[in-house]
Amino acid sequence: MNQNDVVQGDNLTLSEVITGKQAPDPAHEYGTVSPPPSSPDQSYRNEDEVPQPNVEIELKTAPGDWRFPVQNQTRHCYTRYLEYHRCIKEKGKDDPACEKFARYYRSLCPLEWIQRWNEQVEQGTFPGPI
Amino acid sequence: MKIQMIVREWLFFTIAPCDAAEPWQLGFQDAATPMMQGIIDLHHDIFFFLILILVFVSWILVRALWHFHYKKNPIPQRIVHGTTIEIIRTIFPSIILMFIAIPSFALLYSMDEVVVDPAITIKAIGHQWYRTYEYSDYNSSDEQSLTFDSYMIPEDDPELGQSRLLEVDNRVVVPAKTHIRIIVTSADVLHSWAVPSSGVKCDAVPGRLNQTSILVQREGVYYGQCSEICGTNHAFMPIVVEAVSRKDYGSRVSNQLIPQTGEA
Ligand SMILES: [Cu+2]
Repeated sequence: MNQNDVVQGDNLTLSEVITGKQAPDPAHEYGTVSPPPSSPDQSYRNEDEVPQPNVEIELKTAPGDWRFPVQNQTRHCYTRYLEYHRCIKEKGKDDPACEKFARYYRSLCPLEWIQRWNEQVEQGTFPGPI
Repeated sequence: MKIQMIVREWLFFTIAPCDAAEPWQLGFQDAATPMMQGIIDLHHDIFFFLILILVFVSWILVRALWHFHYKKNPIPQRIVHGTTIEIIRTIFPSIILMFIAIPSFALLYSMDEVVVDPAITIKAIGHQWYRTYEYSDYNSSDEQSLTFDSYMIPEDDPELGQSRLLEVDNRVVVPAKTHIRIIVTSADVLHSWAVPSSGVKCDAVPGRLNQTSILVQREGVYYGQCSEICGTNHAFMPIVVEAVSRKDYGSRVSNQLIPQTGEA
C-alpha cells in the first residue's frame, strides 16, 4: 500500500474510495454532547472555556464633573491628577481618601500622559500647582 | 451580462451586515444608540419639508417657464412690487425654518449632554495608523492597565464573512445597555473616531481629550472608519465596536486582567 494512498489513517485506500468500493471517512468524528451545566449562572458559551474564578468586575468610573460639563475633558483629567497629588501631599501617600482621585485620573487620562507627568513629578519638573 | 450579474447580486445575494456599510447603500445604517435614532428621525423630519419645498418650487418654475414662453407670451406683464406676496414669502419660509430648527437644536443639545454617571470609560487613542484602546477603570496602579492595539486585518488576510478594510484584530468590547464614556484623543495627528450606527463622529486631537457618550441598545458588532484625513493609511484604520451583555463584558475584562496581573 502506498503511503500517499492512505485516507485519514484508516485502512481505507484512496483508490477504493475513488472507484466507489468504499465510502469515504466522515470529515471528523461524531462528537458527543456534554451534559448541560448544573446551575444557570455557570453556563459558558464555549465548552472548552475554563470556568474562571468568578471575578466580579464592578462597572464604575470617574463620574461626570460639574466643573467640566463640556466635550473637552482635558482639564478634567489634569485637575484629577493635580487633586491626587495635592491630596497625598496633605494626607500622606497611603491615605485611602486619595485613592479615589487616583482612580479618576487613571480612568480619564491616557497612560502616556500619566507616565510623562509621573516622570516630571519624580524629577521635580512638573509645571502644575501641586 | 455584467450589469445583470451586479443587479442580481444586489437584489438577492448581498450579505447585509446591517451595522456596516453595504454596497450601493443610500440610507442610514440601523441605529444602535438613541443618538443615532434621533439623527435618523431628524433626517426624516427635515425630508418632509424638503420634499414639500422641492415640489412647490419645481411647480412654480415649470409653470413660469411654460406660461411665460416668449412665443406664447411675447409681451410680459411688468409687476414691480406686491406687498402681500412679499409678506407671505418672507413669513412662510421662516415658519418652515422654525419647524426645522427646533428639533434640530433639541437633538444637538441632547447629543452634547454630558452623562452624569457613566459606567465605564474607554479611551480611544488614534495613531498613524492604528488605534489604541485603554480600559483603565480597573487599574490599581499607574503601570498596570488593560491596553491593546487595534489594527486592520490586511486585505489579503480576511476570512470568509469578514468585511474587507473594516475588520480589525482586536475589537473594542463594550457592554450593551450601559452608559459609556469614550475619551477620544490622538498621539500624533488628527484622526476621528466614527461609528455610523452609534451616531458618533468625534475628532481625535493630540493634546486634547474629547468626550462622547454612547448607550448601545443591542448587542452586535458595529463598524466605523477613521474620518479625518490622517496620512497614507487613513483608509486602513477602521473601528470595530462589539457590544456584548454586561455579564460577558465582565468575564472578558477579567479574563484579560487576570493573565496580566499574573505575569506582572
Ligand atoms: Cu486616522
